[in-house]
Amino acid sequence: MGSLRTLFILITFLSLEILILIYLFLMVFLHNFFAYFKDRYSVNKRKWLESKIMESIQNPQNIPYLSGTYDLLVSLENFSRKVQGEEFDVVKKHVISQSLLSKAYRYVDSPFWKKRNFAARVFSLFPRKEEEPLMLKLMDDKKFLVKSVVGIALVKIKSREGVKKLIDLMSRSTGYAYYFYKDILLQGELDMYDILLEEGMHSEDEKIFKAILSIFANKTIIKPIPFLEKTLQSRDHLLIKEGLNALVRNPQQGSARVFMTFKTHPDEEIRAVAAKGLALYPTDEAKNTLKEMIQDSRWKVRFQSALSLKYTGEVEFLKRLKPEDNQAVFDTAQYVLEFV
Amino acid sequence: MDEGVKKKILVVDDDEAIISLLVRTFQVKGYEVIGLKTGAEARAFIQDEAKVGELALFILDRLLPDVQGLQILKEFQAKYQKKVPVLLLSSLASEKDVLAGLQEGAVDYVTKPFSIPVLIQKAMSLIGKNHG
Repeated sequence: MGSLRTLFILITFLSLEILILIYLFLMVFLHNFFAYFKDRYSVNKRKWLESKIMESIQNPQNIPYLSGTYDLLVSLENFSRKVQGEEFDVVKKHVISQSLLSKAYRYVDSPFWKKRNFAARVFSLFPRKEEEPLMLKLMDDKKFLVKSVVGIALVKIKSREGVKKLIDLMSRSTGYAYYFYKDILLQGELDMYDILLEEGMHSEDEKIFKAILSIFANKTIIKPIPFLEKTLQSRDHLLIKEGLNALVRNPQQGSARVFMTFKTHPDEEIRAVAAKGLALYPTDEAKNTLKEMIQDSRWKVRFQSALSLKYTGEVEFLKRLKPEDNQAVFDTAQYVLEFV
Repeated sequence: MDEGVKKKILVVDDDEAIISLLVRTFQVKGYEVIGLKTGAEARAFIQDEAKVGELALFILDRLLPDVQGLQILKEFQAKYQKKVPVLLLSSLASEKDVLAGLQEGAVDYVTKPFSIPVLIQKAMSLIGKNHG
């Protein structure tokens, strides 16, 4: 009796397991089945939408109503990567206003991040000042794929608050996110950098300083950077290095003297940037400083000094260097002459 | 352009939407556009001297699925030595990429996303210069 009962329980459990497996298999099959047709429908729909967008560019007085949410957004984004200009902007504005904007407004407060991402992408496609408050709200989102997308839109409309939020995010990020925000900020128009200059003047946060200087180290803004002096007096070597890099890219009055001041700094990275900066000044004083710096014990500093000497026309000097005087200096000079 | 002589423009781009767009754009200006999507098709076309002789302009994408656009450009220039102006169209926009294209013999380089009126203007100028 007992063994019969055990057998019965075993068979029941086995049957249940098999039923569960069949159910799971069926669900996976149905999911893949519908996904296949949904994808095909999407591809065809997007092709159709792209052809309608193209017709509209040719005939902007007669833009048809285009329905669709995600497919329409993707089609417009694809087109934006290929075409630009006033005609396309007219079509984009019309289509977004008619078909996508109202959904974007609703999705800003959605609990689902994909819908918030949709909203960010719509605003980014055709950013307007009117939507700035909603975009700023999305900038505070916890999802990277929401705030990063809307950051692009805020830079396009030169939003003061948006740019401040971006630099703040950049200063607190590392790795991919840091460089992503940096790239967004580097795409701004020249007058947008006034916001960063102002932020640099008033901020006490060293991380924000570093982030702003990192931007100016990669962008020529043709304006004085008033807080550079304070930066170069810091004890933080990384901050000094960023400041010097910004100075190389945006030379200020008296920059040559600043670079010369750092020729004996204990940090080799700083000495190397100072040598790089002196390439901008083909004066005797700067060249003599570089001729001293090429004797540095560290490769990085020697290399940069040799390169700067080459750029300032001191090729003959580099060729006259002898191995018996200093092998390391000679090797560095030869390397620069031959390979750079 | 002589009356009655219909000139052709060759467009090589793997993106069907770009080809369709350029077909419509240049049709309005009275040009027939031949659209090809791969490097292999482009290679076969440029072997035919008669067909190339009818071309007013060659618009070439740098990134094709099977072969580099610059390779096609090199082969085209080797055979036809700038008889037909070539305009490179590409999403590669760095100084190095633009220089590479121009050094291989392209007369102009347009980066994507491009403005349609600007492209038309450049194309018409190139065609006009070539006729002149």
